[in-house]
Amino acid sequence: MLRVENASVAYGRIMGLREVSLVVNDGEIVTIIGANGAGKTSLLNAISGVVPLKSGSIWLDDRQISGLPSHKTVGLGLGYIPEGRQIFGTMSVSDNLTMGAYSECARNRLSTVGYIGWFLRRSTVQSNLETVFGLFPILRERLNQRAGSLSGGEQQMLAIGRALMSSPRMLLLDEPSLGLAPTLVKEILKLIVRLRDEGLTILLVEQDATAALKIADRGYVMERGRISIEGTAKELLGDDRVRQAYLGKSVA
Amino acid sequence: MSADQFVQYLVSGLTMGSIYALIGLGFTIIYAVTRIINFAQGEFVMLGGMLSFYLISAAGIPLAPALILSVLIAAAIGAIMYIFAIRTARRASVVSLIIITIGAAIFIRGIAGVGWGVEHVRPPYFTGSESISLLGAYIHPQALWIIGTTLVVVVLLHLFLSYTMVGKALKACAISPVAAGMVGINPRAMALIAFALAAAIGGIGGVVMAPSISMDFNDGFKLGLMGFVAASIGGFKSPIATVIGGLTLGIVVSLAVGVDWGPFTSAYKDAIAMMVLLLILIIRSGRLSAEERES
Repeated sequence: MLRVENASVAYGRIMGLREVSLVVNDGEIVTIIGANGAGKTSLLNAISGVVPLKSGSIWLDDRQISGLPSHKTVGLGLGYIPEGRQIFGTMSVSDNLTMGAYSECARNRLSTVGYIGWFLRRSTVQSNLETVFGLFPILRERLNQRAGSLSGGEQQMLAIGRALMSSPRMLLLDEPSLGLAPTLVKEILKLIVRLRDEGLTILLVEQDATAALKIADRGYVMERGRISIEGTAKELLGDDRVRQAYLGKSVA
Repeated sequence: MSADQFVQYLVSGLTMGSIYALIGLGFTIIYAVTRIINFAQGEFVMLGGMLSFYLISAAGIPLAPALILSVLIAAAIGAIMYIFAIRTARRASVVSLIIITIGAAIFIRGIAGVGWGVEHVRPPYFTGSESISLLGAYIHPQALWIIGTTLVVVVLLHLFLSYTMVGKALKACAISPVAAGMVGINPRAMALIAFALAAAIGGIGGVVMAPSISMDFNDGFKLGLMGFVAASIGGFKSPIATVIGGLTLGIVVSLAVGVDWGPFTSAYKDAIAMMVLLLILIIRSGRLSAEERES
């Protein structure tokens, strides 16, 4: 589904990403692990179009998406849940979800100008909203609350819910467990598996490498902007180098 | 100052304050969406006023269509300014973009001066000039038009931002252009809308005020400055804060002019506005830098 070929990203003279190649197949959970500053977020930013590529290419199915800005890749089915959630804090939960469906509504230019009540009644948006409430019943209760007043876990749910409103085929998640209590982390990981089972493809960046590899099909290890090791999740869990550096286990 | 005089000054303060609020709204909208302070905002006001005069007197278009056309042309010029002056400088820093708006302002003023000459013009009043008496004060009908129009613009703007997709997208973009992009909102399209909207509101201000205060090609800068003060008092935060800022400024200036200051005459009206601005900036600067540290 997603193919990254020799992608490089530069911030001024600093290289954020050096000739990274990776593949995510339909229906897979693929995880990227690595230390802080290894380039994981740069990779997701490059895929979604938040930062431009210096060289290389990115393909979604058979369409080249490198060079497209993020507001275009959303419309093609890439839902991005960025690090730090990036919800619209001073807007209501309901408005955040509405904005999540913006790309859906931009497909029909007229409805961009449209009245929100009318727009929300449209069937795709309505069924997405029901899906989100099905996954996160708490959001229904919080609809009129300011998004910034939600707890960390609820904000993460809102960020995922907002991304789901765009009818994505693939989700890019950047450290969804960051700052959450261990029980909530488990919930989120379970949810990711559930979303995959419902047909989504998932690229997951996670600091908790063990947890991520447990739910993933395959994984990539990043180091200083490059991919250093790749393999199935099982292989990586058993790999001595990975165990030592990222899983906090000493090698016997 | 007698009670009657007080009411009179209050009314004229509200009238001028409404105008400052309309001009300030343009500053706030553009700043919120793009972080640019648009120093050409006053030129849109001048364009609205001058266009309405020339469309009515030279082109002979009836009043209502002429007013609407003036506002639409001002909005179009705002959009053109964004497309050719701001968007083309895509990699420039915000400070450079602000300097570009100063350049655009001088350009618009220059063209207006060459095209229309330097004389003051005064379009006709919307509905006669028979003053209405209220609580011992005389209110000119045009003042009611100014206050009423401001009220309508503020309500419509609020409805637009709260109940339409584009309006909410503008708000989302004001909170975070990057996050807005991630949900499919094109930040540049929002910036274009912000410039057109700000120019339209500025144009509306020019159109309603021009019959009361005659206007020439050079008035944009001064009016823009007053709008900037209004927006500063409101902290460039929300439309409502800006309107409160504008009304406060209008009333303060009007009352200050009414007081007998002895050797200091009412000619110091603009100086008073600038003193208000300085005070606000001194008070705010501490708080602003505190906010920046937090974020």
